[in-house]
Amino acid sequence: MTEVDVSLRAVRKSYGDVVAVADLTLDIPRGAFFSLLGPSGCGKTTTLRIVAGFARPDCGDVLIRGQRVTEVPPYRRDYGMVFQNFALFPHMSIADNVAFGLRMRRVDRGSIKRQVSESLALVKLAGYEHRFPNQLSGGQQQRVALARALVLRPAVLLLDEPLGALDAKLREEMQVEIRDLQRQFAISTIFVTHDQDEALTMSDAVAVMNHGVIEQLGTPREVFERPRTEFVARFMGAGNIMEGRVVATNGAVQTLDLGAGSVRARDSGKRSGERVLVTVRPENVSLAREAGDLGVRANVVSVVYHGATTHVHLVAGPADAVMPMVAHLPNRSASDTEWQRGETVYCRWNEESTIFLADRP
Amino acid sequence: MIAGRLLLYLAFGLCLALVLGPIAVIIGISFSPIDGFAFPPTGLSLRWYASFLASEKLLDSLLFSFRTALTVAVLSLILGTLAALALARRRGLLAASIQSLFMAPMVFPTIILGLAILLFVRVISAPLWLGLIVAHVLISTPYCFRMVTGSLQAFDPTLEEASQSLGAGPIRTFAYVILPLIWPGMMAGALFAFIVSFGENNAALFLTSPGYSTMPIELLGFLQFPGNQLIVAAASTVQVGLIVVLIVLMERLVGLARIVRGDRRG
Repeated sequence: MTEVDVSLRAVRKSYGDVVAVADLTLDIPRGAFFSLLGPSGCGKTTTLRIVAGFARPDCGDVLIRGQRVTEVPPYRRDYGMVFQNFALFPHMSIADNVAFGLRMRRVDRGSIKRQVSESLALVKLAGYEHRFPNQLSGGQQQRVALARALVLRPAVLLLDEPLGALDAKLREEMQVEIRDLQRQFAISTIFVTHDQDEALTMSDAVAVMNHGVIEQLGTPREVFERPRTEFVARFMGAGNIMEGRVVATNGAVQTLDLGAGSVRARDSGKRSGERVLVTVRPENVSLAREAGDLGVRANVVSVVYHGATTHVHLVAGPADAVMPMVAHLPNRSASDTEWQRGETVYCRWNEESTIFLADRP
Repeated sequence: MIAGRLLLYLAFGLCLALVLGPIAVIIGISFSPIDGFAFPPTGLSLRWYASFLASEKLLDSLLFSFRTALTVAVLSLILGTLAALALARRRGLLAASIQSLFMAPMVFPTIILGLAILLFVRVISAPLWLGLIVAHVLISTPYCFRMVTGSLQAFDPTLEEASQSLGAGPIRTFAYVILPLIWPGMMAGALFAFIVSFGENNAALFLTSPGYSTMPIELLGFLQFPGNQLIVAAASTVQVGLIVVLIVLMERLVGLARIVRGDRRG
């Protein structure tokens, strides 16, 4: 059995009438890079603050390395945290910033000095000891914040949208750097973000949160390719949500009637006549002008060129129940079909690409 | 462009003249060799400084003013800082009302305040000088409260969380993170409190007694009678000089420019 560094047991937190976190149970195995992903207000930051001790849960328990810390104040918990705005102490030099935690633990001077320079070297900031935070770039401040948290060798590293304040190019560099450091230290990490790309590229496991509950927990691949709810599908960029019913089951393949046309799907276990909610990722959709047995009939609303792909926005279905759809078509050669606004097309995809979602509540 | 520049300099010069002009005149005539207001002075002499230094009454009052102002600055700083710490981040009607209450002495007529405290001091038969300190603390606390509140509002609360996440409890977080960052605001508040108390006249009118008289009150006494009036100019110059020395000292100690700018880097 793998060791668990952080666990939340039925943790609930509400602010007034608003439930920020609802009966959350979660285990973070040692060494895992765990992302809490969701839109703002989904409870991900509150969850992190509960682990950090800055928010006290209304009920439930928080454990760090098996120790119950629910009532333990933040300064007696074993974690390191990197804040969204880095929160470096502006009146202290870089060395003093990194040394702060060691000083609070009354580590002796010599060993503080050694550990500070080791950590600064790890984040490639050797020689910056005597600078002040406002003399550093955003990326450098970020690294100081990491060094300051990691120098204590905490049981868990908490990252609160640490890349939000950086520009796009730097963000990508820091993603790699944070992940490298995390592997090097083999430190369990909880990473809060609203950016699905970040969560997918960095994590071992992703929990997609909405309204205080985890809608889906899985590897990046599972969450991206096999969303289980409409919310997760939309959040991961699979906006083609379609309602329909099962019309036939033929071996492992089912045929679904989506109103505007039929598609195939892998057997979902649903019986003929049952209502289903499905999605398909935009990059798995292909378009054709010719009608066939299969395919969802739709009208082109707009065509947007994106370089590697062209996004074709469509509407399908009758006027009283329009389904907006989108297809991301690869741009391979000049001979690619040019789609025109207003024309009628048929959207197709193979049966593996049809993803069944949990019914709407 | 050049015309705009000129206009800017002109406006700047005008402001400077308005602010510093009267002070310059007083400093100028304090060196007058004759007993009478004549500007520019007809010669240079230190006779008014000599008579100022010869006046035991004035020297005593200067010392008393200084001690009072120092006490007031310390007490106002403590009260103002504590109040600011309690209220700076509170939201809601109650906190807002208490905040306004703390600022109220600034708009309350100090002459009435002086009278009220005089009556109070009589009722509880406390010494007048205690009443004076209470009055000045009341008048000065809003400055400290305002300055420290400003520092605290500019202060990023996640720094406190960062400090706690690194193992510092509330006391060490205050000592190592909050205090160093609001220190300039505290010093600016104390400086204001000192200057306000040092020059305060209205409340002091009621609350001074022989031997416990502040310099502004003593100077007022000199102005009521003809002759020897330029000793007031000399005394005022000394007063201005003292405050300048104080500001320079503060500049050296904490950096006044930082205080004024609210810069937070050490």
